[in-house]
Amino acid sequence: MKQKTQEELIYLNMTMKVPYKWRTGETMGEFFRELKENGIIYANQCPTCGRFFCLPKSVCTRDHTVCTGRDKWVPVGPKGMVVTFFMAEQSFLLPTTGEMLKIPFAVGIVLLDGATCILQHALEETNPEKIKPFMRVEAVFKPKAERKGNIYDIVHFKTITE
Amino acid sequence: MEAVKKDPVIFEGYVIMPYKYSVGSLASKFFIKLRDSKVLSGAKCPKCQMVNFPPRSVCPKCFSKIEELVDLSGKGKLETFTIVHYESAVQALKPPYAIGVIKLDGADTAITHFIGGADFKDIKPGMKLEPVFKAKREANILDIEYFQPA
Repeated sequence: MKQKTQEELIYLNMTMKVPYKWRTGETMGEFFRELKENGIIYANQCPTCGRFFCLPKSVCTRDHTVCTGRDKWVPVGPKGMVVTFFMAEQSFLLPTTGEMLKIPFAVGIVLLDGATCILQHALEETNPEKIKPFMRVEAVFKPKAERKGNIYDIVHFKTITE
Repeated sequence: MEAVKKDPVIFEGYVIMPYKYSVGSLASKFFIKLRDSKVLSGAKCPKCQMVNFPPRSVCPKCFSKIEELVDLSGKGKLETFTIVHYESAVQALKPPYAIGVIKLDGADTAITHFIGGADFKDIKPGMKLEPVFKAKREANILDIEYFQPA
């Protein structure tokens, strides 16, 4: 049998980096502006059915009422309670940074104080054994100078005891 | 919402995807020659004798499989060119720079690459060019830094 020698094959390591800009719209823009400038998490309320939304919505998902009235905004949090959570234990490529997700990564469904609304965000506690339903948590904000007016202005929710 | 006009909130982000691209057997030989011996080579069709530079493993004219590389002198002639002033996120160089279509001596197809070492006003179609290689070569087409007037 003819011996085949192993030839060197060339691979090109490339990175595709596509910049984009996304206008948040008025309602979400107001939410991010408050988050950046005052460090306050807001929820808004549907004037028809009375439900609260966090992040605020411009149209109610149930009855399609326009909810742009600023008088229906209430500050919520920064403390709240973990209703449930999920864990990422398999790392994957984050399309926004090109880096792999740091695992374990916990996402909490947080019921914020002040209104009946939930916010999904990262939890500081990443040991699933230590995350319990109804556990109290508090939002940790970036220092004001580093805030950019997006959801990452909240670093994560840390566990608190009260 | 209040009647006060506020600046819109814009989220600026990137979609970043690293990937690995295998250039194939024939192009690997081409890039290894370029990296190790600074030699530019074309793919010669065994049937119609057409020399493709940059190399292709299938002849674009008669669709024959090409497995042979022939060494070229590296010198060539500028077919056409443009000066790039517009800046975008995906360029390898910062504008302004000249980019041209260069047909190497002995090749039947041309390559698009940068033109350097000359004032923009001195760049003319038909001028003789030669490649300038990078000191640290990594087996990709940017191992040729640019083509300069010969």
